[in-house]
Amino acid sequence: MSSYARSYHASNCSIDIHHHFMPPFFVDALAQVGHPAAAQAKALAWSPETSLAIMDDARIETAILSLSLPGVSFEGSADPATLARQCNEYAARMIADHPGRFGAFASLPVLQAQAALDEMAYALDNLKLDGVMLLSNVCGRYPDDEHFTTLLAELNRRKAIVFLHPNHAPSPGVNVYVEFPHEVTRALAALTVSGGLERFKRIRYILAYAGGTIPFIASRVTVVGMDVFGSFLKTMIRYIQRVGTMQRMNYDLTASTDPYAWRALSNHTKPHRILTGSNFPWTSPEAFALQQAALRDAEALDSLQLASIECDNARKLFARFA
Amino acid sequence: MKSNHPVNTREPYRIDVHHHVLPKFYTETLEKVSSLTIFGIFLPDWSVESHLAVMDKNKIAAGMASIPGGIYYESDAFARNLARQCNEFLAKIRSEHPTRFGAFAVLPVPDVDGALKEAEYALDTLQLDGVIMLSNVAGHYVGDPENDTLFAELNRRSTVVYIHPGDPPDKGIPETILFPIDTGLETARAAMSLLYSGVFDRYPDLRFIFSHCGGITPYLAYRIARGGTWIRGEGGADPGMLDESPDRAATAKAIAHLQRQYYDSMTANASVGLRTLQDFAGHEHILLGTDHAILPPKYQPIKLRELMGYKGFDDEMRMAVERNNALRLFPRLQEVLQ
Repeated sequence: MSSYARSYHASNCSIDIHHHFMPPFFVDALAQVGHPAAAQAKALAWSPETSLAIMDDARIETAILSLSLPGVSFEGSADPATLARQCNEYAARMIADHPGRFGAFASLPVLQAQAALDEMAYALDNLKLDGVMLLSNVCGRYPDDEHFTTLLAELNRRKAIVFLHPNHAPSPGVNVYVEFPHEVTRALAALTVSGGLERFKRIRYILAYAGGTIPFIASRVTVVGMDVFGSFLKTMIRYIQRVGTMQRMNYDLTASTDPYAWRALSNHTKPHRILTGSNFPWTSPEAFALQQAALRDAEALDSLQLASIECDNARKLFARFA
Repeated sequence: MKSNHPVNTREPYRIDVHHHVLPKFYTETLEKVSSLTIFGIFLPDWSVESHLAVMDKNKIAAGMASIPGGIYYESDAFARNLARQCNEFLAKIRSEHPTRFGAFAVLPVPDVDGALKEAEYALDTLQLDGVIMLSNVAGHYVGDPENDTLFAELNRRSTVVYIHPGDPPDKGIPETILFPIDTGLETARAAMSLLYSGVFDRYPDLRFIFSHCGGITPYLAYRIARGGTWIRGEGGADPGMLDESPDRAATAKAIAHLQRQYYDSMTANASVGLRTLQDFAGHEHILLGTDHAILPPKYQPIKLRELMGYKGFDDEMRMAVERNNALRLFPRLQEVLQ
């Protein structure tokens, strides 16, 4: 196969690591508490078949599923632990029913310590899901909260893959649409404050939306909680180490191929740490096509790097493809 | 530094637009009303002499002095009073050191009447070089419609407006992460509020300088450009993706508005921050900023070395960023320095 043919082939076969599912019982649970996401989810009329149709059109071979916002823990949610179990089993069934087409990140009832640990074990050991989705905040609690600490320690022990996804911020800010991805940055800042960034280094993070605003302000994040009036040498060493730690995380490409976001992302990290994501079904096929077209036009990417972003990086990261 | 430029770079030659002064009356007042912190940082002891010594060490010829934090506390009268005191202090250090300082006047917004009066006094009587405005004061964003008459007046004077982050007003986000992280977002929010309320459209003679490479503005430029339509439109539970059918003309116009503004070079990471900013706005729109005297003096040489080590500027561009772009914006400095 010529290198052109290889790149053509590769760039037409993607793995989508940012792909949401919303089973009917989940949408019902949202509707019961009057959550605004319920009506929006109903309007999408999602089913496994709609996901497959979209994937076929967009030439996505495999999608790694994650539960749609607001996840299993929301204001008034009756039983996050049971809901998480149901969602994880639903995802496992989708994986089994459509061999090769799906993987999944587990949902955890983060605010219920023991149930969250139990669910992690069940989802990863029994259901063989591919990793865990953590939201930037759960009912206003960020990853510096003690509820996260035990979970992170266990995820670290397992060298688990963690898909860090934004949730709605406790306060809407000036513009929800613009500020939404920045939640990932806040979550990493919280991890930095709590020391989790250093303590739990074996976790393999995938940061949704290219890390929110991390590529542009990683260095600012590293100084969170640092005593800039203290030891100069210590500060500089930590600064360099923390930037390096963030650069070595994995970055989801979703909504990040416009010229300026891409410029920052491609200067912040290497192509082999970037993974293709779509945010289906919230994102339209047209928007995903534009995103990937912009990637193909990106300067300084050769065909192998392009293929790695569209497919091969995910193949290397997930045991499912081994 | 090797340069064909006539400027003698062995002497202080830089012009610093992100440059704070901390007069005692101001820090003492802040101590009484808000516990002497700005973004959780304790303010250092400060004197003009020690300030000038740090400038000399870092080859900063002139700094565009500004008060770093808020002045609006307690009441309109309190803010008017403190603004006047600050502006007279700025005028005084500038007249004592005319080649070392320019000055951005502080205004008692959201008291717009007070701000109009103070702008007239500071710009006409004291002849200060521009104004500083915080991204928000007590949750009122700089582009909010209530400031419209103020911008109309500043536009008439072609004023340079320096935008600095204010304390993020968000409730429910832990302060430990809110202050250091969301200050960058605050500056982007200022840009959003000015863009969405049409200030850039209506007042084309205003020149804005945004702090810290625009906070996150260059990185978020496309989202910001499209956010104005999103706010009115639909949007799912997960509003992450960019619209597939944006109003292309509106997006391009919004981007162009942001591109013609100015940005200071104070970034945590030059190779990413400056690279993105330079691609976005061009080197002609980047001005040296050091955050002196808030950033501890020991970090100043590092930040400057980072700027000097940045590979995207040739000598001429670098001199534009370090000096010449600022001279074009501030004619009085041009007069006294050349």
